[in-house]
Amino acid sequence: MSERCYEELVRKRIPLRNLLIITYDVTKGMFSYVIQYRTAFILDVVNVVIAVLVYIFLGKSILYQEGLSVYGDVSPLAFIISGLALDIIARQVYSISAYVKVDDFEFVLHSPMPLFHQALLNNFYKVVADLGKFSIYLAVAYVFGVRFKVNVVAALAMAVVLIMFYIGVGLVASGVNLIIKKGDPVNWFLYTITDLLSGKLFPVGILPPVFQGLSWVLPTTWFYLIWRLSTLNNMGLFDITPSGQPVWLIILCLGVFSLVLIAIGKKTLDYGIEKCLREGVLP
Amino acid sequence: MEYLIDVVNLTKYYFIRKKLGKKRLKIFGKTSTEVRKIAVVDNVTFHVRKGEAAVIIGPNGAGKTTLLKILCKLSLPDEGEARICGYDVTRLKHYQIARLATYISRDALLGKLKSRYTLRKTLEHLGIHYYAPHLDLSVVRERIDALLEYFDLSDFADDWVSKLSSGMKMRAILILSLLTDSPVYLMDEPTVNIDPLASRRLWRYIRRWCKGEGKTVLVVTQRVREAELVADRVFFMNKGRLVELGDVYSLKKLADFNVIDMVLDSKLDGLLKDIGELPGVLGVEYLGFDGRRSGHRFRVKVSAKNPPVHDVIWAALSGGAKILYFSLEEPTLEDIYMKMVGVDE
Repeated sequence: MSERCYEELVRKRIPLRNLLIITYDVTKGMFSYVIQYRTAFILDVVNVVIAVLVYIFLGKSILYQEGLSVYGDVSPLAFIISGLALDIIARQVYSISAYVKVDDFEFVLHSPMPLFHQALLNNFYKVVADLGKFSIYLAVAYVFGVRFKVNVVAALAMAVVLIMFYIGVGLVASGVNLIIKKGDPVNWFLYTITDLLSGKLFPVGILPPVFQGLSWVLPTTWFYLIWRLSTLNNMGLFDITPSGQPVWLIILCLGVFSLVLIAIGKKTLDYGIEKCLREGVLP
Repeated sequence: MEYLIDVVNLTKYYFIRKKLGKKRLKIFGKTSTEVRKIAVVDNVTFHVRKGEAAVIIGPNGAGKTTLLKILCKLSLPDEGEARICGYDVTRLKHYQIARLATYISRDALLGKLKSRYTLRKTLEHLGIHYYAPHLDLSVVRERIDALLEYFDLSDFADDWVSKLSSGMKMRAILILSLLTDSPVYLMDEPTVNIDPLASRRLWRYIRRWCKGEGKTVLVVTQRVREAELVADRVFFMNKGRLVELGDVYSLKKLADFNVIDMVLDSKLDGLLKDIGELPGVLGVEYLGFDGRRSGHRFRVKVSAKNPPVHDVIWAALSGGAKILYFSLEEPTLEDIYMKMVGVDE
């Protein structure tokens, strides 16, 4: 090959036609890929709608202070901060119990250490980090004038039940993820739907009536309600909530529900592991 | 006789789903599919004794890795029984199996070697977390130091693990795998991406281990030549079936051919055809120019009974070539392997 040929080879432009073909192929391929995973595609679309709704309701609750009266004399800032702080604990417990994943399924399973120990030990640093984060939330809120009126017994009882609940959810999620091998529908449901319906960022009272009906079916709504009443309004175990039930009864119901959920989660995880062992871990 | 790996009539099926009909975008509803059942492990029976090193060789997709995974319950069999140290693996919990049999697969560990620790710290961390949590930390540290030395990584022990080359990472994986004290080791292609010196050291280590400490090792590899270095017995696996077994010596005796390795000063036209037509010659191959001997290299497969050595020499000389090197050799394991999987040059 002569020197001129090398020069030509170095300076040769990629033909426009090839660029167009590549763009078309990649775009078509990506759309086919997205549509192929139908559930993920539909959930993506729903996510966008839910995100918009969350911001609308959040705006309404801050601007007009709607629906806050149920919680007593509470500012919107205190309301939001307490919701976000609870969310940190919830996510943490969830991530510990959702330890078994498709990605390193074999590696995690084939260890001389039982799964339960691995999940706890390998996530301990996250617990410490998130407790720090939790404290920062509260400290910042304090600086901005939020004053907490905490009933320690009720708040602790609620926290214990909340941890049980999210352990159950994490186990179910782990099992479901191993069964379907792609996506995380439980996580999606828990965080997207509950962001909208459970009163994490705004009071349930400002939702349209149909949404409110759905909201009170979700256990997470009750967690947020009791958490706020016991940390912002000093409500004790034997006090009566605005919805008419004593706090202890709600916590008891949530506790029983969480125990059942843990049992279901354990079964789901066992089934998911067995399915992967029989069929392999590839989607 | 104590069998630490005991497999009887083991069968594992995979179901392959193939979509039927015209390909079209469908958001709702399902397209019809055809399901095919394939036995990836097909009625396999074998035993490995305590202190024995056994090697399974076979082409891609033969079912070798699946067999190893069944032995450590990372895959469940559909029929038959697999026992490790006398225990039915399906009845044990995973962590219990991991204490009896260490499964070594490079894929699983490579992703874990991305930490921002030094090599020594990473080995210590992963070792105590995943491989030897039931051992004393001082024992783990001692073993790490000894193995770093053995695999020539001592000089890099305090370097960031992310800076190591892929070959070094593979050696680090071997070190991790050898940290445990389980009686059985199941190794899936342990020497991929490792330089010849390190892989030779590994095999030497394994041999010493088996003979000195009574460890039982089952290796899956495609590097047939390496199998000769370590195997007490060799298993050939193809299409899910274990087709033949024996020790390397008797396998070679079983072979009905020998190999002539010959280097000539010129590449004669028609020589391949002339030699190929000689009685007793089973195949002939031109291997290209041999720089070391400055000549053209030929490989002739001849029958083991009365190999036509004189005829082959005569054919080369009568063509006017000068013979620079000539040897009649037993077939390598690789030759036998090629014959068994049906590849004949």
